[in-house]
Amino acid sequence: MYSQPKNLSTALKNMLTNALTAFMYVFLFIASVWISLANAKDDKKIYHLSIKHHIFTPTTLTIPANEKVKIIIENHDDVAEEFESFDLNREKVIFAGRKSTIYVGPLPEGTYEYFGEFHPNTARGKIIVVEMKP
Amino acid sequence: MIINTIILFLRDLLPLFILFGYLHVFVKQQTLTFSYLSPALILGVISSLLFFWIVPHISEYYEGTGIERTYVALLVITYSCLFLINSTTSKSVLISGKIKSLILVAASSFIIFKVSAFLIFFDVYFQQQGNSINILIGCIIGLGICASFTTLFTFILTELLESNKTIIINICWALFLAGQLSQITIYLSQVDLINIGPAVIDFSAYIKDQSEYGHVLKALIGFEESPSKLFIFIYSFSFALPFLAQMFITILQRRNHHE
Repeated sequence: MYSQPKNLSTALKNMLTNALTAFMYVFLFIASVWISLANAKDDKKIYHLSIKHHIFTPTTLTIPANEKVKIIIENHDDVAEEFESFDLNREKVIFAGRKSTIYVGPLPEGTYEYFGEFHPNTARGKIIVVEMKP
Repeated sequence: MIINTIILFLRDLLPLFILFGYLHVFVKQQTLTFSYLSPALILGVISSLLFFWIVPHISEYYEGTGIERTYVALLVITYSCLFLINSTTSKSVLISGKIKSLILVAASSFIIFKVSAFLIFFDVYFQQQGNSINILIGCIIGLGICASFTTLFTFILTELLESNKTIIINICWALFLAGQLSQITIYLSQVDLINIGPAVIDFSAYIKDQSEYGHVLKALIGFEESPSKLFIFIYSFSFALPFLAQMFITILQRRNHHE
């Protein structure tokens, strides 16, 4: 029903298909190994946020300027919540009774707002970035 | 609530509709499309439900970075399996066993990525509101928007194909694939696997990511209101790769023809 293109021999077509498929498998293998083995560098300062009764605690988090930090968010509620911040370009679902990690920064001094997308009226907070003396 | 549900459809399901629109045009025969793509749909939907069930556990893997890693893997699989085909790929190649398998794997991966995200949000909204009428109305409108947009989009692609303007289709297709793949920079940066650096340009004064136009453009070409250097690099590379691969294949074909 479907004829072969005349300008391409069957042998060449098979060879190309095999070569491209092999390339794809190798690429996928490398990508999957990297994704599963690569670890985030853990020399970051760690901050904690918790969600209870659809409220972030603490509501204000102060972090150092020009430094990447790790924020561990723990959800104590029985429904999922999403940490969302347009200012920080971050969006992450934290499932009920679970905790997740998010990295922010390095950021210049300022105030960056975030909220819980599923309960935006109550779950609100801000991250204040300040210069910290060593 | 209705608006939120419609936004969910635009954000999570419109890219899926667009992907199936492209594949529909590439396969070229309406009667063939359903039987051709139905295994991917069935496999993708079942996998999405399974993924939705286990995603709370996955979210805690790798110190709470499991979801991002999984999403990156799904996007890489989708891109890797699709960048070799376009509107000039012959039907005989598209229905050949290996290429068909690649397309099915890609479609299934993309369904898992998009539908599972949709299910997570939908599940929470449903629990939170308990207002099923509003959700139902939002779903009907959202589905209607996605379906009508895709119908119009597919019609335009078909017209372009029949006018032999395949280069335009291929550029749009490459932009779509690049837009999807380049999302990995946001996920990888969020879990500190890469540093993307500051934004190079800011389009937020014109179109915001979270606006309706932003969602549609993101679905079509992967629009980002404030892209970083790395985002632009990955976007450009993944946009160019299908054309480079096509050029390589054409050179080999010509060489063989001369021999």
